[in-house]
Amino acid sequence: MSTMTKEQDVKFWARSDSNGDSKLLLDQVSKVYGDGDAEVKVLDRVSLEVKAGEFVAVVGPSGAGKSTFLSIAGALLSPTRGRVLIGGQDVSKLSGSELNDVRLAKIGFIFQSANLIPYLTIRDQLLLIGELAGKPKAESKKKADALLERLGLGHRLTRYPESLSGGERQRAAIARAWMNDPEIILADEPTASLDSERGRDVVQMLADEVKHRGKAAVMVTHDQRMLDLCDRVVYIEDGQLSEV
Amino acid sequence: MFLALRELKHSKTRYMLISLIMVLIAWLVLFVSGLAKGLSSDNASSIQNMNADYLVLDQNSDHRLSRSALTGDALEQVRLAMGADAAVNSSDRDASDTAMAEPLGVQMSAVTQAGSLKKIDATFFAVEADGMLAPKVTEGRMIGADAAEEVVADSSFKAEGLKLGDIIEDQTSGRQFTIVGFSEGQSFSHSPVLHVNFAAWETMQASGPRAMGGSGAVGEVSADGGTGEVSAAGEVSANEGVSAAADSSADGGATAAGEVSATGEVSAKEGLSAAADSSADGGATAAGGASTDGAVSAAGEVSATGEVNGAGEGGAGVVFNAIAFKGSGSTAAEVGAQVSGVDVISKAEALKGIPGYKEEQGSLLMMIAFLFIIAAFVLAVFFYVITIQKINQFGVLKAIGAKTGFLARSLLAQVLSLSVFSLAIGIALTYGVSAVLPDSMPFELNFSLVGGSALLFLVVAVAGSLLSLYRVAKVDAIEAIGRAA
Repeated sequence: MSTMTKEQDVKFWARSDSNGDSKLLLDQVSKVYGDGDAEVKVLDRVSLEVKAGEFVAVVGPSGAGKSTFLSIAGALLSPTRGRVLIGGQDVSKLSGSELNDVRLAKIGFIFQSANLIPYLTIRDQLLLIGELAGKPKAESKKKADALLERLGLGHRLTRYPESLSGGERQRAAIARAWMNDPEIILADEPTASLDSERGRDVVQMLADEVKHRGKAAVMVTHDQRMLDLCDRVVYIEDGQLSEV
Repeated sequence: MFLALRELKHSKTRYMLISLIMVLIAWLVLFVSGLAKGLSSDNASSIQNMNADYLVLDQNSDHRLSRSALTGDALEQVRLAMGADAAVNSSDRDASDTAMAEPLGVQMSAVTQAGSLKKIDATFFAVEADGMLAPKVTEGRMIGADAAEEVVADSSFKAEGLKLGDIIEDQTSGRQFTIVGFSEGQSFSHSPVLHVNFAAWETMQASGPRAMGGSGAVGEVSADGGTGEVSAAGEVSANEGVSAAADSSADGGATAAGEVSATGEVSAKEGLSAAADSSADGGATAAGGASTDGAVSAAGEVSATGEVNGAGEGGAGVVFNAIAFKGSGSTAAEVGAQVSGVDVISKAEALKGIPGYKEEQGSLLMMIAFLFIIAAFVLAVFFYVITIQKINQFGVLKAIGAKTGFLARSLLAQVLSLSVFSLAIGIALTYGVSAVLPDSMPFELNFSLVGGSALLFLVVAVAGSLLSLYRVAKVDAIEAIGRAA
């Protein structure tokens, strides 16, 4: 139901407006780089809806537009055409600073090889999010400790990323992504630097959390072994999105 | 601050190294500043500490105290001009200020302790003993108002083994003086200052050099318009000590620096004012050096010819170097406009006129300026390199919702805490070193100098981090996507 033709648009919108649990909605989104003859269309009229409790995998060859897709869904990039709604809010026309606030409030990111801040302890990685959002310290601390405990990092609170294993780092990254109670989690190849067993653990953990919290997640991956853990798999190639 | 302090704590070695460099620079900055300040007061503290705002100098003196020569006429005119200004601005000054203009005599010389051959550089300052220019006496007493053989010496003379009651001899005039008091922080052109009153100044001017050779001797002149009873027969050499006499000579008169044969009971002051007046007539200036035991008869005689208008004030008739007064810029402008043939300069300008002062301070100032520039560049380069290394990290931070402002504050917090830390150590080191420096080393640190340098250092540090701030602002959150760090 996520990829649609033009004729389906009207029907889709009528239904989506009545349905409040749409966490992410991309509507006819195109992204074009350059102009005139040098124009490159990276995304071509892509539409996707992710609902609460859904875990969607996006697969496709390199250069197909996966990163651009994730950037637009993650409010890092504004689309050339089309609309992007995150948790019901249209973010396609917002300024850079407003996009910052949207990311802080509604989106959790998990990047390749964790991208934790090297000089922060695991607990501080999470507290930083509270700091950015201006939340009270005690509240953040309680929440961070609970999250890390839940993800099996309760004994690693004061360690630095450099002393953790790859799997632990990615779990810390997942905890960080949940820290701001986002509407949606966007994961950019979270298993790229892990062996398959640990990678599977991490993705399993992500899937469990999505179900547990009733939020949504989109994971870009090229690791076929993880796909069975996802609710839906969409395929992206040459800027076009299709359901598998 | 959340990120800033945690990163400093985590990357200790890296940031310790940079603060070590900054400590060294701050230390050097403060040390050279202290040296510059110390040299400045060693050079010219007598002018810096002078209780006056402006100095009036001879127009042709090129703002140099030692070249200037003024007479009592100029002093009267300055006082008149100040009085006129005071009348105009009577609301903001009381009438007593009108009298706050005093003559100042400056003569660089050398002295020996009586009975010793060792010469000590010294500068004689002639002031009115009870006037505003009188130095603060820290030991002993002030010179008497009329005592022509007393001096108050700068305390650095003590290092030469001189003490209260010792007798010193001026090498230029041959006059002997008794040290009756010591003052603090009185030096001129790196030589300690001896304060005398104008009675002594006149005798010094009159005595002429004794040991400097006879070049430029004026010879014997009988006073023009006098009664012939002034037999002037001094020997004058053309040196600084008698430049005043030489100047009036250039006006077309003949200068007789001589001994006046003494018969009457006239005080030296009066005799000298007579001489000045005859100079005004285009005649010869008889700078009569009346020895105090021998009174001057010339004055009375000249007075009889009607050429004396009487000198009521000490020094009014003698040639001196400058007139110091207190007042505002408007007073200074008024004086400059109303008195012809003079320049009115501030104390700061007078400092520049001290031989070597400008050059000395200029080179030190250049060193300090370069140190600040170096500090800015060291910081700029260091933080720029670190920022470049962390671009990916900044991308991640922006992606998870950190705004540029947050990251900029974090960077500034790092720069400032490093700078403050380095400055604190630098200041401590500077004070530590100054404590072990020998007293003879001209080094002076005061709170405002340290505070000013520290503030400038912080400003420079922030300026140095601007380049990095620009890079941080330019980082795009999208850097975080699709990258394996």
